[in-house]
Amino acid sequence: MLLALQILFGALAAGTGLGLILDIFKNRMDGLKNATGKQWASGFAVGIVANFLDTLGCGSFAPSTFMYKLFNQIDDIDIPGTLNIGDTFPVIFEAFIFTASVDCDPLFLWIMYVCAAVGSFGFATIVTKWPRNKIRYALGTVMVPLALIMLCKNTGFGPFGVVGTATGLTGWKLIVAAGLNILWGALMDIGFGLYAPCMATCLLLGVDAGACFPVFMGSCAVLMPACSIEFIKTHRYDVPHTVGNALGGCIGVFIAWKLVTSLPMFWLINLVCVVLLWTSYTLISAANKDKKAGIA
Amino acid sequence: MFINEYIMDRRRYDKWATPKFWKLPIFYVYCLIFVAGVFGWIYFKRVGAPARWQTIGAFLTFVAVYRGIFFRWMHADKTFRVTRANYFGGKNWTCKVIVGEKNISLYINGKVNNKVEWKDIQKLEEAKSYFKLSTAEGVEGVMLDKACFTEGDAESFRQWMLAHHPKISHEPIAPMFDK
Repeated sequence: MLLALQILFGALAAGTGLGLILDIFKNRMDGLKNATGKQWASGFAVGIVANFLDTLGCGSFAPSTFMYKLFNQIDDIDIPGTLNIGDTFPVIFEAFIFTASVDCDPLFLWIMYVCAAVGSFGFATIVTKWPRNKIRYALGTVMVPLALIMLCKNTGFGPFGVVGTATGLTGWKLIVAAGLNILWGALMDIGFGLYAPCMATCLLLGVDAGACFPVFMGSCAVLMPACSIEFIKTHRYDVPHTVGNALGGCIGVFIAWKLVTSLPMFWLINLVCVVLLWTSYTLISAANKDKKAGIA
Repeated sequence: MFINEYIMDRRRYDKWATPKFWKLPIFYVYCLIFVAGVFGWIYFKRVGAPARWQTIGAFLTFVAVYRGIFFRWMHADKTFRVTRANYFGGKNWTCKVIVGEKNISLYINGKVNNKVEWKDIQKLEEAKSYFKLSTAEGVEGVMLDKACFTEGDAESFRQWMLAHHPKISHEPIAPMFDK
């Protein structure tokens, strides 16, 4: 009974993303048939590498865009739609396999997912007026001390205590985490990734490093289909790259999952700190680039 | 010939863009997922299965409630608010539809926005409170509020359509949008 239910749940969770793939097959069969081998190879390669990095918390949009331009097999105008639609399935897959392999308090997860959705849908009009670059500088600057604090906690150095082992949060910590997840969900509307800040929030509030993964992956998984709908409606995506990204992405996610779940906690937290520092660098360099170009 | 003028506000946009979720077939799939999720959540807890399996039950219940009930409304509402903020300075906008012999002219806040040729109109869909003149793709359409005719009225518009555009099929709108 238990095993049957577990299999059923796996199928149901995986099935939540299948509708998007079916949409592609239903509406764009011509694009699928006319695709060249180079396009397929580019789509799969980008999907595997970018979603491997995504699973580690580095995000996938920046490396994907870089590789698409490098391989030169896709029109620039189709890149945003291809990324949004193609990444939806691996992100849902990520959320599922991490949820199924890491112990995390269900109620805590529910609250965090609801907050991410409320942030993204409820505060979209407010955050679009915020100064993007200032937020980038602020977040980028905050990430550095956060990473250093986590490193100190991990090595037992300084007055910061030790790393948390909680599978969920309660009381004031839950309120703080929920409030911040509303903010991270809202910032997704102006192009900020949710992974790194959500990961930092959970870690600093004492959540076990492994248990952070289903929190930020699930938060992203519930928001991504919203972005995909408009691109599907307007057919603004490249079919072989979208399918390649979706399928190759799952392979990349699987490889990264094996790596993350096999790492000892000490090294996993060090990896998370590297990701936070990398995110800080990408935020500040993007802000500098826009500042030079005169974009606020 | 016929003029239809209305203010596009949040309520009207949500009403036209969001289907009644309980009339969508997929809603019943989400109901099943919800029941399975709740059952699994409780069952896994009772048999002492690892917390991760309870979590998947919780994940499924969330997906079912969020996607089955709230998602379409939240998405439409967000689209309206972002459009209003980005293009209309945070204010509702006035839509004026002039249905003429040659074409249909659309005005937004008094300025010409678009002209739709009759050859592009595939069907006239009728709901309780509005008409939708659907284009070829079926995604876009010209919306006319039955209560907002400033020249002509809903009944005379229906009769005129039947007499002047018999090739455009006249049919009731899908039940989930019949508001």
